[in-house]
Amino acid sequence: MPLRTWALACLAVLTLFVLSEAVKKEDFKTCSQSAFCRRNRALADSVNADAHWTSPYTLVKGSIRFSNNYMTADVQNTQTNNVLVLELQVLVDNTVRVRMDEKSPILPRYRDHEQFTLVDKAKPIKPFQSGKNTDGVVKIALDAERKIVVTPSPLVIEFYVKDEPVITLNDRGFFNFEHLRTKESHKPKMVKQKKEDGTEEEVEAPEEKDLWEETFKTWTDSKPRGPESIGMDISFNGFSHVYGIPEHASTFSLKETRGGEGAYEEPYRLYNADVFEYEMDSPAALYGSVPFMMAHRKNESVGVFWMNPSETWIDIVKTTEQAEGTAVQKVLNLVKPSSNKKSTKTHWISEAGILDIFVFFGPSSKDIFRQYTRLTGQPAMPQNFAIAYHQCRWNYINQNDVHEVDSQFDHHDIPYDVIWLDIEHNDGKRYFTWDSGKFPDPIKMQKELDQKGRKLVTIIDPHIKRDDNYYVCKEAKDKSLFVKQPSGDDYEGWCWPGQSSWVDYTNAESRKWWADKFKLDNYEGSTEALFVWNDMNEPSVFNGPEITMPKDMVHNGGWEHRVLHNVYGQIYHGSTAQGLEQRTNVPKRPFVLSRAFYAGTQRFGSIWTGDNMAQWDALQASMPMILTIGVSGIPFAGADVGGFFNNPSTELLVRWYQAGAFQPFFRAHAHIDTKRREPWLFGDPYTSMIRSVVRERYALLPYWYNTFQEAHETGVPIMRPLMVEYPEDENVFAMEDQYLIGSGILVKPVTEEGATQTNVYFPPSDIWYDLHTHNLVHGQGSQVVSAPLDVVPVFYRGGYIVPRRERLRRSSHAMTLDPFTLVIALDKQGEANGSLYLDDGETYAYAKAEFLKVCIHHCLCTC
Amino acid sequence: MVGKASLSCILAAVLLVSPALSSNVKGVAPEKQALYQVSGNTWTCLDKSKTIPASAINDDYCDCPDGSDEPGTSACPNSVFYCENKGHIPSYIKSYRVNDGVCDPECCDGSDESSGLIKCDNICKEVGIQYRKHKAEMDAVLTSGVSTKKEWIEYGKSKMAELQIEKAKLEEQIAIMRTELGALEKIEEVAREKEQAARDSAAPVTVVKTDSKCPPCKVSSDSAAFKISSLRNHIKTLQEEVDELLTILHDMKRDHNQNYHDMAVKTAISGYDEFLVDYDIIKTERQEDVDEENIVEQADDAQEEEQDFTNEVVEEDTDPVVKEAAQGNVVSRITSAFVTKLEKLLPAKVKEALPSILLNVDEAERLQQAASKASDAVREKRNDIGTKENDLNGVNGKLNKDYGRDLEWMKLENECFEKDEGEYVYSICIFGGAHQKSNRDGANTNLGSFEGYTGSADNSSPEYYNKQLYSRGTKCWNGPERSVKAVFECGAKTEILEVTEPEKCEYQFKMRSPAVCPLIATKGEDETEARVIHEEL
Repeated sequence: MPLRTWALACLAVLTLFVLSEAVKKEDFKTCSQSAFCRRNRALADSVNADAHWTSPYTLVKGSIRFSNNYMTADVQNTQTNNVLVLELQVLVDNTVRVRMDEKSPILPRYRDHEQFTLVDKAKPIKPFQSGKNTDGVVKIALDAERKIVVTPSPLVIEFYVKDEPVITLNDRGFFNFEHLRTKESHKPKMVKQKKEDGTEEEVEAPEEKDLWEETFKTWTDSKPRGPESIGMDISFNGFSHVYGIPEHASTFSLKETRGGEGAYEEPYRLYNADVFEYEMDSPAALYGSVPFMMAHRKNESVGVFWMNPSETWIDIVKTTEQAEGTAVQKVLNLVKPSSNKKSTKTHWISEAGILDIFVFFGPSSKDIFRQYTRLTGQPAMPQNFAIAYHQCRWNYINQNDVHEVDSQFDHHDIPYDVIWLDIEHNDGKRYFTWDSGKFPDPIKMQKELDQKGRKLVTIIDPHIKRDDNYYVCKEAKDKSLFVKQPSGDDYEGWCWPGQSSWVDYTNAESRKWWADKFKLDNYEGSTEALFVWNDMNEPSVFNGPEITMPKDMVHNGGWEHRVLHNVYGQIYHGSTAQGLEQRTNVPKRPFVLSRAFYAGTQRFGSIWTGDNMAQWDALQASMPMILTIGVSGIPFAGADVGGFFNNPSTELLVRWYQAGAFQPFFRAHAHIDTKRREPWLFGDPYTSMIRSVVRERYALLPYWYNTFQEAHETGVPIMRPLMVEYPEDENVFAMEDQYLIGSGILVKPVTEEGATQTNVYFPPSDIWYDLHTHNLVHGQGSQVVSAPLDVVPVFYRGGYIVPRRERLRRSSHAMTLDPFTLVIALDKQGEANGSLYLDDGETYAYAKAEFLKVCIHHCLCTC
Repeated sequence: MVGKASLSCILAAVLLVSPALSSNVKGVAPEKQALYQVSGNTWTCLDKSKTIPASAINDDYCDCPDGSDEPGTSACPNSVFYCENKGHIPSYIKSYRVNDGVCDPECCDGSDESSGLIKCDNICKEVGIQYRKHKAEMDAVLTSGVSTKKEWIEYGKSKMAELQIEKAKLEEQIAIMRTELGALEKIEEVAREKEQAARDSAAPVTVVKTDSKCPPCKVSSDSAAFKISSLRNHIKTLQEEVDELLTILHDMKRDHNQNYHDMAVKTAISGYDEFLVDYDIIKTERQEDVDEENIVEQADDAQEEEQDFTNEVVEEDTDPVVKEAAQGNVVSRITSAFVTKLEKLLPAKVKEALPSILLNVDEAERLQQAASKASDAVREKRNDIGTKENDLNGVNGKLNKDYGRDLEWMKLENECFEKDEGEYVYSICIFGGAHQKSNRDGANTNLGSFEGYTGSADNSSPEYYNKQLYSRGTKCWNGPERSVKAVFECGAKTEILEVTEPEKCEYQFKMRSPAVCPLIATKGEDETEARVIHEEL
């Protein structure tokens, strides 16, 4: 949903600006407006400018300890003498954890977010081999091929595969760990400056600015803890493509960020934010953050997870370097003559917390998805209905409207599973309530939907209206569950209901209390057919800095909002999901859609790409965005079909349905100011085009469910970049306008206005069949394919078996007993494999082995 | 290279195979059961396209292209399923609603769900009772609505007929007035010309004028008398012609066939009636004038006057009489009075000649007076015509307005209706405007004015008149101009049921009115025959 139209109402002058400009860039910080980013980038610049620079961080000799399954050592900053503790752990499944924290900080640094992020305790295992040489160089081998090499002075950590470092930490010497200090004890860095008369004087270095207080526009951040940022450069040696770190409206293969042709000037930013009419092709922060990055080169992938939920910036540059080897390689005599290779060098900058990096050795991208989701959690298994078609609008205005829309779907023989109610359905934006004038009998309404196997979703946001007569507010106030101001009073800000407070979900008591709100007895007017939509959970605060909560607000345990901002929405999402799961005696799989997300969100449900525009470029952007989110562990994602703001042309709407029907989360949604756009309002041929593609979604639901199950088990994205399935084919490494669903279906949605044909790249290692005609695709590689408005180019991949259900029904539930049709697309050898997964579609009985998974093999031989 | 295969091993557990063993084939109406009689082991699809094993009927696999082999399952997408609905009305539902876990209300006997996915009770008895009750209510509303609508139609028709008559009347009046205007304009023109001519020869005339009131006006009495006499003859001739015309009209009025409702004839007759009234008055007045004139004429006999031919086209026998000032005034008064009265009666040709009578009877001053008088007359006439034309436009506006297929909406013109929706009171005046009035501060917002019917793009469709659009209301802040869609359904009276705002600033008034009640009663519809289109309850 939506954004501050109210703010526009108040500020007519601004409005004119907004109407013409869309996103108000000046509402959001650039790196130079964020003091810690500015400091760390400045450090990088000065290092780059200084050929003799040496990182001040060194391993303290004699401090190296090998315990049973991890290594620790002290690391000293030789400039400040501050001492850090380095911890290196080898985890199961080719994963390594590198942690650094201050040895004796004056205050604890934030690491509690681990409980919200990791499912596994990330238990270390005993490495295959470990030891150090006399120079203090530490070597820890995972197996015969993979090892970690820690060079002491300056501190460099390298991850080797077959004698070649694939990932290097502090390769360029940007490592910077700002130790906590008191303002009184802080010795400002001084630099020499020439005066007018030619003499020199000592002045505070420019980076000393804003260390203890920082002002952006009209907001001043009190920064009581002073500077505590962490910067680290991570090089992916020999990898020219990196992916991940959502959410940005950017390319799938990430761009460089230090200027130049085709590069951004700003780093990619991770700071969950509610951005009005966000800009395309930009590294600016959006609603969600996953600090996970994967690098890929021919037949090899590696990844890193920078576990830090504070504001984070990532610079990326790509270099083509001579094979002269790194300093460490020289030390170790490992330099081999090899050809020039392109490397990707990244620089990660977080505002607070500790350094906590997970490195994944792969070696394939599918291995990395497993390794990453083993830590941050399996994607939740959705209920059947959740992967069908969702109909949403801000707002279906009353019970009759819901009934009417529901009936029209039947009248026009278009299946759908879920109808959604946005913020106008409740009593004055008091969540968990109903506007009884508009919805006099919500239970009856849900029962009517339920009878057809359909569900209702209501919106529930984390801002609670300040109103003592509103039980949710009253209870949270009485139990002291709201986020606090530094003074200890409840934090208050503006959102949809006006003056509001935000529940502090980092508090276990809040989470439990919140989950209880979803009990059928507590949430009046709710039934088991009601599911939930969590919006505005970045959190969005209309009158806050960057439309969010001030960083110096206080959470449970006294932690500032600063240290956990990016994980707030995820914890909220999880609490809601828990509430839905617990409301029945037999727990059922929750369905909760969230706008904000963080690493681990995949455990709780789906996300969508927020308030997009009804424009062709937004449709195009939906693909790299969902692909990026998918490779970052969150497979269940989608974009508002049709575009949220403004009215799509009929052609755009049809094309968007065609794309959306082949994206994991398939929901049409529209802003309150737009024209109605339910599929039957356009008349034929358009209504039929939409009907046929929605039906195609339903026919393929068994395949989608299968693929969701695969994602649940393996973490492999559902909407799958070609580089995952074709890791050897360099043509596809940056491909983002076509993709696979699972392994067996290739999709190339048409996203160009007026197009009647499109180029499709058919990986030559396979053969392909048109999904509609079953005709074999002749030719390989890039081919022109006819794609008039009623056709979305989709292809079966030879060698795969796709289960379908061909009967048109009203909803996925109505298909429960329908027969399956298997489409067996043979490969060059005349063989094909596939599977059909079935369970009850709503509970966790599958975890007790109550499911059916049939593996199907077809061959020409007599088997 | 692509093959399809049914996954029968998995499906066996869940599929219900119900071959046509029993005497009744599931999903088939009793009267169509005969079509499913099997002779031998095979059966032919109803479209004769294929012969299939008898066991393939209702085996949950679609064999026939027309879907006829699966009347009792959901296998064929183009098939329909018959629900007997004992106690209620039988119906057909689309095949995809069979065994889909939904107890379709159209299939109250529950026969559509036999898979075990859901158990549907037979609720036909209750549904039947409810349905009949509801239907009785609806029928009552319909009956009442239809009877009101019929009254409205009658109202519309008679109102239209009245308007037609009024239109004809106005058109005739305007035509006459235009003719009169023509004559007056001529008079004015001549008067102006004379005035101009007099002014052109102003210098000598003016000098003389100071000495004697009308020196150039030397006209012989004889000549004047002659002229008057010939004018009288002319009037007599005209009178005869008028009388003849009156006889024709009188006969037409008496003899025409009233059943033909010929508007032209009716208009002519009503015009004739009105004429008679006016004519009687004029005739009397004219007689008096003529009498008076005779007296004046005698008194003037002895005097000689000079003639002044100012207009060559003027025929001799109508040449103006010019007299001494005092006498001239008298003559002028008489002639002008005479002319004024005659004007209404005389044909245009005669009128053209008239001005000459009026002119040159006086000196320049008089000419000027006459001219301005003539102008006044023209102006006045034009105003009168304007008024009438306005009336005519009004009438035409109504005549051309779309009051519905049978003029059923005419009765509601400018009738206003209100609905209090809590925060606002909404109102609509049919063919007028729609408004929203705040209950808080009384602020009144214009939601739009009547633009047209929008029930269907095709104005011959029966739905066309079921929706009205009121557009171009006050512009919304940062949004469109407000507008209202008034959606009507049949009701016993006209009222607003509900007001909603489905899109911002685009309101929907859900209304009822007899105006949209269907005239062809759906009442006596055969209740025993099943309908493919389901009946909403």
